[in-house]
Amino acid sequence: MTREEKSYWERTAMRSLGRRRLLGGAALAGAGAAAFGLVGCGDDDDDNGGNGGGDTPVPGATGTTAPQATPTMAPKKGGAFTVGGTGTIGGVAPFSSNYGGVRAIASCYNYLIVNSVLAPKMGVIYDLATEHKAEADNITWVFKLRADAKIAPNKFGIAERPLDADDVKASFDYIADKANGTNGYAPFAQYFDKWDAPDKQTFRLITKKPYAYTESVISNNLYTPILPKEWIAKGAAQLKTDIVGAGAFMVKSITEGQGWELVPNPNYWEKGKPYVDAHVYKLFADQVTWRTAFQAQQIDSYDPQNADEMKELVKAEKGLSQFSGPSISYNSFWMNIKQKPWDDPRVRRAVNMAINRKEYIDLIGRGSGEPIGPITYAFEAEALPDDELAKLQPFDAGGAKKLFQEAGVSEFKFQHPTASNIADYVTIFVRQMQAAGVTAKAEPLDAGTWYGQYQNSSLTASLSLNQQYNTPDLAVTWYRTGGITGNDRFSTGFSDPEVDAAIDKAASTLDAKERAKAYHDLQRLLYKKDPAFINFFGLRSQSVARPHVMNYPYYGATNINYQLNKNVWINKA
Amino acid sequence: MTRYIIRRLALAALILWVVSVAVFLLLRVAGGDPVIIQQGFNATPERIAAVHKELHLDEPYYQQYARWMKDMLTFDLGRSSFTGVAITEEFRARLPVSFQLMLMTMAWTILLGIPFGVISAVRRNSAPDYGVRVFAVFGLSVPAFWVATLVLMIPAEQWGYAPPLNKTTSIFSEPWENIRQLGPPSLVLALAPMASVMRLTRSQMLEVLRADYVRTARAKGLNERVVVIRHALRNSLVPVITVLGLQFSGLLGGSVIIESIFNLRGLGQYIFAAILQKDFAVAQTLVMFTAGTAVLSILVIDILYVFLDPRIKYT
Repeated sequence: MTREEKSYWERTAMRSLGRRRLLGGAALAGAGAAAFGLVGCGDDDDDNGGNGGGDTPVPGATGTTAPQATPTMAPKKGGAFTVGGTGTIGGVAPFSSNYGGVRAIASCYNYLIVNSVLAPKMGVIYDLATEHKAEADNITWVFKLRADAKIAPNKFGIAERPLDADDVKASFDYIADKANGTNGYAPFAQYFDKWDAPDKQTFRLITKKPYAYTESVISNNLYTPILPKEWIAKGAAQLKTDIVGAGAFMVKSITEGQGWELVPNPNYWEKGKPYVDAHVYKLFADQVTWRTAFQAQQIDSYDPQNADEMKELVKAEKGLSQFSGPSISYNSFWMNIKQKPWDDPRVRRAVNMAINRKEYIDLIGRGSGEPIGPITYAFEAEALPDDELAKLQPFDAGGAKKLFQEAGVSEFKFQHPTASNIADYVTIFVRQMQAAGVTAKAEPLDAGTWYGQYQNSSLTASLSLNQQYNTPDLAVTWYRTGGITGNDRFSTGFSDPEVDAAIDKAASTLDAKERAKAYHDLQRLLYKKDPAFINFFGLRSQSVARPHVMNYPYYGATNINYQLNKNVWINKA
Repeated sequence: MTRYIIRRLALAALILWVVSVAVFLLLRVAGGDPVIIQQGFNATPERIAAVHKELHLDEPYYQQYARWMKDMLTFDLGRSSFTGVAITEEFRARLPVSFQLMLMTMAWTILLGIPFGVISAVRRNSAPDYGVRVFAVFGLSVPAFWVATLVLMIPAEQWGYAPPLNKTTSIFSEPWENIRQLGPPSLVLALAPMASVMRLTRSQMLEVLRADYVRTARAKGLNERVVVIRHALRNSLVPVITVLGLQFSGLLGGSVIIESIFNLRGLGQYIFAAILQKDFAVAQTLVMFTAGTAVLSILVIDILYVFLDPRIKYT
């Protein structure tokens, strides 16, 4: 008899022990309860990487107290790995999901490889590919595929056959088709030239020019999941509500507004993995509820909003594993230079000078964060050194005031979405501009209206939320002619051939040291041009997990974190 | 009476039609393209145009409205354009949660609001009266979302306890879990209605207790309990019932925040998300459902008057 088949009274009898344990635990928790802390709301996406998996922590990650797996501890099978998040699932469209559904997508589909610029020590983890190499021309990449990747059982009539190079080609074809509006379209269109499947076990990708981030782009869980070709043929509506792949997990249930439950794919090639019997994702309305569920032992991990909150939780519950590392998530100020006063470079420069990044870090990041330029500090090599950054974008309210006066600007308007986590930014921004002698008039728009106008580039100026780019080249496309998507959507209108050439050069430089220098030079050039997209600061991300969650390696904010949940195991009797 | 009901039903239909036009137009003139929100950052203009066509958003408003009305009248509610899930499926899953929350809220309101209002009136200017009045002011003045947040956070901080926050429980298969889950939010949601019912019951009772017929009842030597319950309370209830009806119809709207805080997968949470996501199909349908519930409950209350107060007659 399964759990579902037991009567209420049987289950009540079984739970009586659990309730006694709860009361005992309550007494302990009460004794060590921490002070009530600020927990605001925030959108979730994947900024904190709370449910990462794998075996290698991200560089810069600190402070784990977890009894992590050691060679002497053999992984145990069974148990459930239960995580949480805020926001929405928003369907599971594999190539265009921007919401919570991406976590399920990444766990149930395959990727050729798993690799991130943000976790260089991790190297390349092979997934569907078993080996790969770049040819001498530096534009041809050859991937050898495993023969034992087999599609999971499903109710949609997709045969449980091996996944092969034709499926990879079909997936790439779909991503590159402009009409499909996929997440990966921009890098594909910009850098990838063609691809083919010479045989079932070989996939070949040819880039337009040498491209330093090819491996990152094809690892990105938002961009390049590999689907069975007949599943792709079912069409976008079907792909949005169900998953059929050959990944470590398969879907047991997806409930919009509530979460999903994944179970092991019995056809998965790595025998014994995933270790857990279930991977459960619970959706919470906001950060408060998410935290409460963690404190009440309803989930195994939680991503605190800042270091203070993590300290509170660790103080209140002994033995928690804690993780902290750079986050690629940051907020920015976007200016439409087709409109006044942003067409005047002095005004753009004045805004940048009026921004006191330290105040944002102190008030929003609770002292935990770094000022950033066009490339976030999380990209250690490509970001400008702190001292140079401080010179290139100095906080100088007096200087800003002078520039505003010279430009004849005493007030300007800007728009922002009415998301709860942007209110503090708006307040600080308005105050800082006031200190520089201008009145910044905030115009709140509901998220949908704001996003529509942002996409059409019809906003005057805007606070832009939650920028996340897994490679430096994507982050700097904000400064490229045509904007972030290359077709004038979300475009500031900024256009400079010299900048475009510098962006191309940096992304095409394969030597790491030379590439870092190219990105430094690009950023110096950008400051000379008074860019219309200004970044504030990069947060640090935090995560806590219960000590029974083994192999909870922390990958910060990379877009590879969900592909590796197969390594997690639960160390419970 | 029958004519009255028919007339009221016709009026209800008219109100619902006006609501349908208003919600249809307001969602569209509020700005923002639902397709852009749904399709994400990289959707091409071609893809956006294709989805517009798929969702009939490229048609003139009057055609869109006619299509929606036809679908509503044939109970073909369609799918959420954001999640792709059938609205009827979501509705079926979420309605019991919201309905139970509303019923439990009304149960708290009636079971606590009326008796304490009566006690407060009967024992005027005593400690219980002061207690009830203070509680009523508290219930009316503190925002429910604040109380809800504290109700959720304090036990979690102090004892590591929280109601089930991410599952849908059934009163039939998991009664204890279900009460743990819906008890606290319904109590929080009932705070304000309970307080107003307490105050209203108290004031109505005070008025009635001074009436001649109550004095006569007492002079006849009737037991005080009989005087209060049978003679005074019944006559005090008509305005209370009116208020209860209005409160019930407004609960679905009020539950939006409470459902979100307690992570209940109900209709309030669904409508809130739909409005934010510009999910026209879902938002329109749910607003119509909310309006329908309000209109119907007001009608039911009007009919109940007849039974509560024989002096009232509808023609």
